[in-house]
Amino acid sequence: MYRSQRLALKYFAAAVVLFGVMTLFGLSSAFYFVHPTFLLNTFNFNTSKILHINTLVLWLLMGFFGSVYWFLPGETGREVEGIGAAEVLFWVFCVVIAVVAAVFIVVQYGPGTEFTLWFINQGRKYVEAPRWAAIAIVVVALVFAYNVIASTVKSRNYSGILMVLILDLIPLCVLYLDAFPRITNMSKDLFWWWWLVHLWVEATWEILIGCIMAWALMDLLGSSRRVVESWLYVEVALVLGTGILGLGHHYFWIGTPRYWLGVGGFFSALEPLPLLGMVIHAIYDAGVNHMQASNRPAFYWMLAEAFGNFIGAGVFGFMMTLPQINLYSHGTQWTASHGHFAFWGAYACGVITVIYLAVQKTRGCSRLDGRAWKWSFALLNLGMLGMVGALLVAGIDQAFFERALGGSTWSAFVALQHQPWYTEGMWARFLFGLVFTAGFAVLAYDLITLGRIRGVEEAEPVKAAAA
Amino acid sequence: MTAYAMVGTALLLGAFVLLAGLYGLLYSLAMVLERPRLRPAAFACYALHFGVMAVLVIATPLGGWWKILIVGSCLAYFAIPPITWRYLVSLHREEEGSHHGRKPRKHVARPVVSIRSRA
Repeated sequence: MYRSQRLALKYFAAAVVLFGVMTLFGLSSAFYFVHPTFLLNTFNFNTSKILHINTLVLWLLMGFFGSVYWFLPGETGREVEGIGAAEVLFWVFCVVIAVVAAVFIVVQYGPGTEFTLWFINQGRKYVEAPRWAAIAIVVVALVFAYNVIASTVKSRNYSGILMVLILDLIPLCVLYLDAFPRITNMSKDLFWWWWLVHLWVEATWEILIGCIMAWALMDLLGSSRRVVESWLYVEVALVLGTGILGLGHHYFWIGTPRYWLGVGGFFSALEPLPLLGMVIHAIYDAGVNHMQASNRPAFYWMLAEAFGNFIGAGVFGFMMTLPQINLYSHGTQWTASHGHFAFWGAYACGVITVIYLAVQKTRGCSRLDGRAWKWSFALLNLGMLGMVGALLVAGIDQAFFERALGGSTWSAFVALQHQPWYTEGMWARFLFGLVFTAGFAVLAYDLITLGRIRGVEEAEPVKAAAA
Repeated sequence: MTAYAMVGTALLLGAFVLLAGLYGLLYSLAMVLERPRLRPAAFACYALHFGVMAVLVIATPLGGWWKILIVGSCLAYFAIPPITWRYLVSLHREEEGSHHGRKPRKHVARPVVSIRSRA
């Protein structure tokens, strides 16, 4: 095994730990909605939410880094260039996350000074990490980019996947610089902030996961490189074509010019089209392989990715993306339902797919199957479906009573807290959050023990299969 | 737009994309499983999708340009499953041809045959 792949395993382990942390803080955040005085003045809702969302970003980022470090040596046929620096920076990354989390939990916020921006909290949603930590993340990303580019150049293997990945690394690093400015005009600040939040997620991350899933397809199903790369180009063109200017749906109500209503609405309406193509592709691959693969968990998580992406981003997104609807729905629990489902489908399922592929290779299993992964698959997806369904009901109720009827006033907000559809929706979200948490626990158990502690009926090691 | 119209329109927009997805799903399953009975089900989903489009155009207070966009999307959704499917089949067929040193074949009308033969 290459050093790069050993590093990938560390990234996967860290990603799973952060996935667990994200789940726990998500659960606590959900509980605040049904019991608002929970840990009041001890550990406030805003801190719980910050930790939930930031660990979401970080566990996926670590999963992506791990996935690339896992596949890169196989692609280039050599050890990753600069792997020593990458190994050191993995630990730096972990220490940064731990320190920032500790500061968030203990200190939480400070006065509006430079010191606060540098060492406590930048106060910008989703990129709250203080500047020193944001700089550290940029350094990690730059070394990651160097690893990929230098390894490609040294190997002289300029494959389509690597070239797409290298082009994607430029915006991946550059857009994160948007985490730093302190712009006092709120419209201008939000204008640039969305470049980070939207373009990272709906452009650079989409391409990154596209490259990762291309490698995963070749590894899992033996798909030919030419087929995978051709499809990757089509997907990248369609996703970028609709996703970049789809940014406009975030510009509807932040003080930007009126034309963004048309631009954002138009390109957002096109966004589900390539997602349907991905669903067709997933069914094609499933059919060609008769729903069988040597790694069934990875195969099913890969299918879940295509369907989750379509429903979460496509269906839930289109419901609320046109300006006339979005006027009432933006920033409500309705948005939260779309966000949860889209992240889950587009990225989380993809990262779990690659982790199972790595587990199969490292534990020497000729095939992976068993009961535990089925339970985790069912519980996680059922929990997610239940949560997004409950949030959807609560969000529609919120848009209806608080926004459309109540005119977004403070009294309408207070009145909403007594609407049964809203309160019961938030309870249902919490209960399905418990189901999701149980699914995570089974997933962690499965990943830790599969092919290591449990016998051949669960995971069949190579020797047993050969015998 | 009234509060009721907002909720009704949003749910119709969701159903619009969901039915397009069901059409694509059933179309693909009909091809991959060679179950001709699924194809009418797929087209029934598309018919429902078309019906939702008609309701969106006729009965909702969305602006005129958005309605034109929805009609255009409806037509695009009809074409995506067959075009994607044929593209995938032709990609795989060309790959098979190049593996065996043969000249890549052109696209054929019955893509499912190639899947059968691979199995």
